[in-house]
Amino acid sequence: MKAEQRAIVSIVAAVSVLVVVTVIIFVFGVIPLPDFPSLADRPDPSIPGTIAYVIHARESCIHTVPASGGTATEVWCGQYADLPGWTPDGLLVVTDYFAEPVYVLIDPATGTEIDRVRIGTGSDGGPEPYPYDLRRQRPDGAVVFTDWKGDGAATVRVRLADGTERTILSVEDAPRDYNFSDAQWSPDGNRLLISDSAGRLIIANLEGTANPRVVVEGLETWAGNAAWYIPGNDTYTVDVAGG
Amino acid sequence: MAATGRRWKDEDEQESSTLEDNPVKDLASSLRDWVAEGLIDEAQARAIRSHETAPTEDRRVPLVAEVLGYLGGSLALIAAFILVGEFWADLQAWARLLLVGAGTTAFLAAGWFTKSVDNEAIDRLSSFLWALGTAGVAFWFGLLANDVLETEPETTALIASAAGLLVGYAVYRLSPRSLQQILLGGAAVATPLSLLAHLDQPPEEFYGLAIWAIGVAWLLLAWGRHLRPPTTAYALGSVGVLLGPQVMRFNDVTWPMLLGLVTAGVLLTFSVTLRNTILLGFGAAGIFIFVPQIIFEYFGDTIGVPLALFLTGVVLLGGALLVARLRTEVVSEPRVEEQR
Repeated sequence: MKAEQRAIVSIVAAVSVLVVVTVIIFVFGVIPLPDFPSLADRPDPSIPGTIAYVIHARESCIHTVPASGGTATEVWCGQYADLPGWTPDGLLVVTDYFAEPVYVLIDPATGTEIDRVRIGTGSDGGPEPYPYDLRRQRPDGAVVFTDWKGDGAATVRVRLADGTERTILSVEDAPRDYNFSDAQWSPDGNRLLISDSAGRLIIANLEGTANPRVVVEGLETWAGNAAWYIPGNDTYTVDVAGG
Repeated sequence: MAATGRRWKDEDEQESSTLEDNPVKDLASSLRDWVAEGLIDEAQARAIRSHETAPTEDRRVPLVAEVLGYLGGSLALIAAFILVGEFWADLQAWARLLLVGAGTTAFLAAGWFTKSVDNEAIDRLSSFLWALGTAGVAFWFGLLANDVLETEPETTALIASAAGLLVGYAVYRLSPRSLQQILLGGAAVATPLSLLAHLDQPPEEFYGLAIWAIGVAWLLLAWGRHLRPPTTAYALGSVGVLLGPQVMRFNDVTWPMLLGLVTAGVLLTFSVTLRNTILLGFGAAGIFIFVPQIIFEYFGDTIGVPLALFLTGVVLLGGALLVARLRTEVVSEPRVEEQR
C-alpha cells in the first residue's frame, strides 16, 4: 500500500471506529432513568405535611417543600449540617458538625435559629444523637427496606409485623447502578418517602397503587437526608427538650 | 574497505577498528573506491570529503550535566509547589489564576525560545517546558471553572481537558515529541469522558470502551504515520486498547475481558505483520493480564482454584513460548518506520 493510501485509510478507519463506538455507547450505554411524575408540576393536596432535606454544596443548606408538591424554600445554611428532623411542635432540628456536634433548632418559617443544644451521650447532660434509621420502622413493627442487585432492577419493600412482605415500588431495566435508598415512613404511616440514586425524593402510597411521584430533584446522589413533618403526628420527631 | 596495517588482527576486527578509529581515513579510501567504480566523479568526492571533514562545533551537553539539570529543576519546582501549597487555601481566586497564569506563560515562553536553539539537550528541555506549560493551561482553565465560574466537577473537568487538548495539539504540531504526544493523548481521552459525564445518566460502564476506541484510533493513526514519534504512538495506543477493557472490568462486567484478550491477540498479529516490537510487548502483556482473569472468572467456580491456577500457568507458558517465537520473526526484519 502506498504511503498516501495508507495515510487516508488510517484516518478513515480511525474515524469509523470512533463513530461506531460512539453509537454503541449511546445505544447501549445510555439507559434512561425511571420516569416518575412530578408533584411540582401536578401537586396533590391529599398529601399532608412538609418535607425538609439537605443540599450539600459549598455549604449545607436545609430546604423545605410541601409534601403535596410546590416550591421549595431555603431555610438555613451551615458549614456542615446533616440529618434534619422535626420537634413535635414543628421546629426544624439540624445536626451541625462544624465545631462540636450540636443540634440547631430552627424556625422553618423564618430560618431563625431558636437554640443550639450540645449533643452528648445521654449521661453527660446532652441528648443522645438522633437515631438515623428511626423512620424505617412504623410503631406497629412494619419495616420498609430497599433491595438492589446492581443489574438494573431495584425495589422498595415493606415487611409487615406478621412477617409478610409486600413490594411497594419496583423498577426493571434501569441503569445498572440505579437504586433506591433511605426509604422511610411518613409520620402518619400511610406513605413512604424514598431517595433514589438519581438524586430524587419520591413519595409512594402504601395502600392501593404506589403511584410514585417526585417531590424533590437535584439532591446529591449520596445524601438522601430528608425528614417529613405532619402536624399532630409526632411519631418520628426529635425530643431535644430534655437535653 | 581499506586495510589498516594492523596485520595481527583478523579481517573483521580490522574493519571494525577502521570504522571506529579512523573514520576520515576510511572515508578517503571509500571515496577513492567510489570514484574508481565510477559512482561519483572527482568533484563530488572532494565535495563530500570537504563536507564530512569540516570542523563542527560540539554542542552536546554531557548526559550527567543534563540529568543533574533536570534533577535540580524538578527539586526547585517541587519546592515552589510546596511553598505555594502552604498559602494556596488563603489565596483569592484572582491571585490563584494570576500565579498559575504567570507560571504557565513562563513555561510556554521558555519552551518557545529554547526550541530555536540547535541542540538536542536543549530541544529535550524545550519539550519538557512545553509539557509543563500545556499542563499549566489545563490547570488554569480548571481553576477558572471551579473558582470563578463555580461549575460542577464534570464541567470543570471538561473545560480543563478541552483547553489541554487544544493547547496540547498546537504544541504537538510545533514540536512533535513523545512528551507532547503523551499529553495530547491524555487530553484526547479526558475530554470525551468528561463530555459523557454530562449526560443525565452517564454510561460509566462504557467509559472503558471509549478509552479502547481512542486507543484503536491512535494505533491506526500511528500506522498511517500521522503521529510522531511512531514508537510513542504505538505504545500509547496499545496502553489505551488494553486499559479500556480493564477499566470496564472494574464495573463487574465480564465481557470486556474477552475484548481485552482479542485485542491482545490482534496486537500480537500486527506485531508480526508490521515487524513491531512495541506491539509485540503490549500484546504479550495483554495475554498475561486477561488470560488469568478469564480463567478465574469463567472456570474458577467449576474447576476450583488449584486447577484454575494450573490452567493459567499452562496457558501463560504457552503464551510465553508463542511470544518468544513471534519475537524472532518480529526482530528478524525490522521495518523502516521502527528505525525512524
